[in-house]
Amino acid sequence: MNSVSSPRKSIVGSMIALATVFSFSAHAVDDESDLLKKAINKIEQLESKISTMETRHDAEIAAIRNENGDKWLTQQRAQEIRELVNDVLSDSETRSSLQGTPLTAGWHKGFFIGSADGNFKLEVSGEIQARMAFNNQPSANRVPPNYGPSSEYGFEMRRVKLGFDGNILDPSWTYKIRMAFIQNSPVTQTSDTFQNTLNNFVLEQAYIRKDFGNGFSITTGQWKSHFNYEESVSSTNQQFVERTLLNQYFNTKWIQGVQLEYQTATMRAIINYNDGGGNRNVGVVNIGNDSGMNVEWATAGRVELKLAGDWKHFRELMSFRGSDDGIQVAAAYNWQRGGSNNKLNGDFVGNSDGVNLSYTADFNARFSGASFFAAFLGNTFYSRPDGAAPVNSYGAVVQGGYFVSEDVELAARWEWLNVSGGTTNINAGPNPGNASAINAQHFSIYTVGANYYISKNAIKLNGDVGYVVGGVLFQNGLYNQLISGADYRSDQTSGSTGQVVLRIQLQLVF
Amino acid sequence: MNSLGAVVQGGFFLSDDIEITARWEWLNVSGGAYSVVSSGNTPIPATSPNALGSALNAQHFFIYTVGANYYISGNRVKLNADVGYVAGAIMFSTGLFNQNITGADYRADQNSSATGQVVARIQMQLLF
Repeated sequence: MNSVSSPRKSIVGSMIALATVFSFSAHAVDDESDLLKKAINKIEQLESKISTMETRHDAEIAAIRNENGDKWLTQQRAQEIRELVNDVLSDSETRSSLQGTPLTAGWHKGFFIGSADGNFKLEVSGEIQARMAFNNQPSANRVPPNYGPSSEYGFEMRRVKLGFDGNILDPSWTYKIRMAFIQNSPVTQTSDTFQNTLNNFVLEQAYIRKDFGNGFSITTGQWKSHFNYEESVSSTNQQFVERTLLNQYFNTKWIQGVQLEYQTATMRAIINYNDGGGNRNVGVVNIGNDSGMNVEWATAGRVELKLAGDWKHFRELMSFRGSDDGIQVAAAYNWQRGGSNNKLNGDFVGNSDGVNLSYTADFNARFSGASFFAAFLGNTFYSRPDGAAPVNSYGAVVQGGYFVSEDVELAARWEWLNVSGGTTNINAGPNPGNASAINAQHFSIYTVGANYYISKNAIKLNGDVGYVVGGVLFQNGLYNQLISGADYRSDQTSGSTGQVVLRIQLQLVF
Repeated sequence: MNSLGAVVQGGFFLSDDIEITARWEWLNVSGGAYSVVSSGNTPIPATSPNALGSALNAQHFFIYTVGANYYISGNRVKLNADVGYVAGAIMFSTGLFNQNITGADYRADQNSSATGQVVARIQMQLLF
């Protein structure tokens, strides 16, 4: 606190001394002259002293004002008010039922509230993808009676999600809950179905994770399986409007189980035991006594090696200008046996009686303003009942993007799928949509796109167009993922080719 | 139709954060129609995949359960585990007020002389 001693006290003291001097002079006339001289000298000394003190104090006050402006007095008062407020708050905490440490809140890649010490935190996030899609399927690809129009188009809310995540007790205990409205798609709508009746809010992820330090952590609950790279990257961080059709064929999507993770600066490995790919929100015991289990056992694992860059580079498929270089290679598997009571189900091969061994290897490179991704995927469906022959599926994807300016990117992609040894049942009957993932088929899809990143992945406008060479003869992937989510339709003849999909999408993430 | 039941349970902390527990429960339903399974007005054979045990089925069973709990932070973060053993047959799949026993990971038995169903559960809980 600034303080200034007043010269007024010195002046008063001097006047008292002066009065004393005059008192003595009244009783000693003989020495009047000497006394008068002494008094005059004393007064002159005092005047000089007062002048010096005034000059010094004026200089001090001027210095303080120069330093603090007009606030030099209000700061002291503000400090007093602050102390008073703190006293009131401390008192109120002892009288309130709300216990806890001081609160912080704000926005950092999402809205959050938390304790000041960081031990408790809750983040709220959301995702909106508003899409317009156009699908054209040549007439030669379809068979009566469910002939349908060649072209289907319209708007859809491809993804609308809300999420909560954070930590509790300390940063090592983390959690995540993510929910999504069921996705609408114009290509799945039927004449007697109102889409709005399907808009349920479903749980996608809910897990608890404990970080044990030294790179080890355990996760339990329900989450997206880290099998293939493309699916592991968030839907908000894709380079095209939608992931590949190949991804819909192979990805294991949501799983329930327990997972061990280990990470170093350059390597990351996971292994889990789960309830099978594509099985979410399922109970252990089902109603109906012989319903059986979805799968008898399932496990998945993935190993990633980071040869350059940061891990965060590979959380998104694009690489903005100014980003550091990064290279990653990885391999993964998903191995599961479907329930012994589950007859072959074209919609969900992974849960059918038999064993599915899926495997993949992928490569990623990131540069300033350019990116490259390639992956190979395969699956063997074996140990089938009645000695049925194994079905082998192979696929590959290569894609890349290049920024032509700070916020505009061009991208291209090639994907390929080959399924051999399966039954060539294209389901040309009354339910042509139930094309199975183990149908023998072979096709390539060529996709080109352009992205306008208004605010990177927080707000972006995507557009792309895809062309199929060959027939898409499945509607649900091996683990029950619909191709309609990518705005494709299953073709109905083995000689099909030429399906076209065009998509435009605006995305907002908060 | 009369349905009677009882439950007795207790817990004991071995340390500040580890508890062991035990529970005994009993259900007796007498006077009900001895239809092992039924749905609406149409009886369904017990072997049917759509078999649904009625809460009015005459039945009598005990369940003995023992458990251990590790309270990492009270009930906010805890790890529970227990094992239950049924002496007798559970002849219902939904309670009087339509609550499924599947929520407790039990299944309806399909014959009145059944016994010995076992359920083991382990669970991680987090509240925020």
